[in-house]
Amino acid sequence: MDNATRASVVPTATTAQKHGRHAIDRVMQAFIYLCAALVVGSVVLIFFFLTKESIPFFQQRSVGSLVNGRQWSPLEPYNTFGALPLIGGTLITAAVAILIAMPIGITCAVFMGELAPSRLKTWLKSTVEVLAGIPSVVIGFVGLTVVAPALQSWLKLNTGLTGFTGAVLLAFMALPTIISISEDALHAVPQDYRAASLALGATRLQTIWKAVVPAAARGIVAALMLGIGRAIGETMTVLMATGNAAQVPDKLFAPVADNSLFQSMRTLTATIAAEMGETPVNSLHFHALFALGVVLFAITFVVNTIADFVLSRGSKP
Amino acid sequence: MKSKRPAWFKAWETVQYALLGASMLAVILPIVLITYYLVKRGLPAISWEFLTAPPKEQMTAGGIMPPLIGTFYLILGTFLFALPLGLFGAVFITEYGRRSKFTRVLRLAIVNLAGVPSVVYGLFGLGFFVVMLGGGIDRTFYHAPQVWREDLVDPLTLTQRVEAAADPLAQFLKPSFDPTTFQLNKEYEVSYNKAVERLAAEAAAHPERPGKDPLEEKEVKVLRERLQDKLATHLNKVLQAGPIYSPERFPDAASIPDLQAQIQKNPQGPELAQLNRALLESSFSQEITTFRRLKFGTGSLIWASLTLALLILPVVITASEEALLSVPDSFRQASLALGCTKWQTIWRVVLPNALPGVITGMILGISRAAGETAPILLVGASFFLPTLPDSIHSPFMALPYHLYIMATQATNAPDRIPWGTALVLLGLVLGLNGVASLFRARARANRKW
Repeated sequence: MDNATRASVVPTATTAQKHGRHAIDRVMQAFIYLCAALVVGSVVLIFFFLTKESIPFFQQRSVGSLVNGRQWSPLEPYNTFGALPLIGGTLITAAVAILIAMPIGITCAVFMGELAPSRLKTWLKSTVEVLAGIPSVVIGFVGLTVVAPALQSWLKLNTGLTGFTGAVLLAFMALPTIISISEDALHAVPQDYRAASLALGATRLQTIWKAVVPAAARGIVAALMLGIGRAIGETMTVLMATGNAAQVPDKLFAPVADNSLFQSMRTLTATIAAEMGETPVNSLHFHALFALGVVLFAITFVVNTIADFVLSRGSKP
Repeated sequence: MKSKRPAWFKAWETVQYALLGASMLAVILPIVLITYYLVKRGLPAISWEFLTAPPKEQMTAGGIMPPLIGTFYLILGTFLFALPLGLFGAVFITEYGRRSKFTRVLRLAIVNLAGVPSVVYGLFGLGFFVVMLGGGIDRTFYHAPQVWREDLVDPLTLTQRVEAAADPLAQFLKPSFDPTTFQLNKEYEVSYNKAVERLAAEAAAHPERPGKDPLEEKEVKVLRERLQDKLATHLNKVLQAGPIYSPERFPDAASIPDLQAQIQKNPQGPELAQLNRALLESSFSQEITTFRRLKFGTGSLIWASLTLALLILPVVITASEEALLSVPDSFRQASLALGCTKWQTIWRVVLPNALPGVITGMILGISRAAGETAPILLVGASFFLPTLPDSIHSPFMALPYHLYIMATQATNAPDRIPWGTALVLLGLVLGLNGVASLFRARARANRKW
């Protein structure tokens, strides 16, 4: 039924009212389309502006000098923009964070999804939701005042503000993402799988590890990727807890006293947040920070795309 | 049937159960501990005075009223911008384009928005809203010069800013200017020399630096200029801060000699600070004029709200979409069959039934916005302001940024202030989350279908 015939079956509406109603209808439709277009447009704009503001930097310096340079000294008189220490800091804190969070996150998801009775599960879920809700600056503050001094005295370090401290906090912050998405993936595994495995005589744990978890593997991988994305994009926690010295973290397998992981580290996000406020607009430094934003955006985009890809494929049985 | 598994197998399974439980405990325990610790250390700080007084005595005393109000304005603005965009974006998905190609593009956009790091939103807000839109408005309507923002650097170390917070110019300039000779005085030279030393040390640590140690003539010159810049830019910040330092107090420099005479009689009197202000305001009159022309071209409430609104869009759209989809299609069909137009159906039937879910999503969104620090750092959150924001283009103080400052920069503030701030922030964010879940639970219970 088209609009005209639909309107004609309403006996009380006068022609003028009908016109008025349909005019409003068209205006609101246009408005709704506009809102949808604005949402899409904002993503395009974000990407466009990040690129646009970083171009002046790349006109003066090469991409190689940014990505491969070992020294970040943006102020006069050095003006050296080598982002290797920052990229290294970002990747290593995120990698260590995920190495810590992976076993804990998956086992927690298994505990919540497969073992906990439903009332305990509800309670655990809401507690994990609380963790997801804690602002990152509060986690950073707790890291700064509680975790850093504890790690310093425990590992006998010169300073508690190290890449490792940041990684521990990031792991903690990535956990809600990992736990809830992994748990969803476990939940999506058909009950038949469990029944079949148990019927064959497997114990509950054997069923979990050999039947349920492998069936949910894609969802769990996606959860880990999203966790990595979260860890890479996190700003305030690492800004407050890693010490922020821009040195290339290249000694990762040395003893604790000499290991880069237990020294001050600086990430891309922390650099942008710490330096942008003190940078003149349209200076080379300003554009360099946008270039860091592009690098950061690229890294998170790759990670999130992989997660999305794995997740969308994983939903098909 | 009794299983015939060996004893070690049963032991191993027990160990596994224990490990699974321990892992869960390793997550739950820190959450409980953090909350407990924040309450324990923060609660003693919280009093009526703490919530209603501004920071005092160079931020070592007083309360958190201005950041609390700033965060309130901020989430209000975020709400106003995110609601139409998020709600109607979701309406588009569920009511207009369920199977259209554009919906797929829209979903892709939402997924990408959700993955963008928050600090990148800050960069976008700065580049697009502040510099381009705001700068454009200033140039078009307020006659701001083209290069207006070059002067708005703030390279002063934050410790100095804390010292300067209570009575900014007087505090900062006392060690800088000798009021009798109009020269930079000894203490300024000392801090200048310290800066040179520090840079020399930094230079020695980087052998690949062009040039040799000690600092070359050119580098010293650059350093000197930088320090003078700091002074100038600090002045800009201070002048932005409020009406106390307006040039109206010193319409010309004629009163300066009188002040000088009084200062020579009584070096401890208030005239010293007055003179410093007069002196600087007359030497930087051009910068002051420039600065006062800026309205939208600096970080402010409106730009920060817009930035945060974009940041929470994924949350708002996803929640709204879910709420709209939960309204049964039979409701829509019934409404259309009675002769209502599509918009009447949406407005009178679909939206009222979806409203609780939409509001839940909005509350979750603004709770996230209330806790975000990195984006507002770049688009208008201020370290200290003597007055509350009075327009949409005012800079503002915000609770999470205040916590960051109190935790990292204001080292001589008593511990109770950052702990109290952290507890208030956590209470605000978790409180909003709690309201959202209560709302959702009630809405589900009251559902009519």
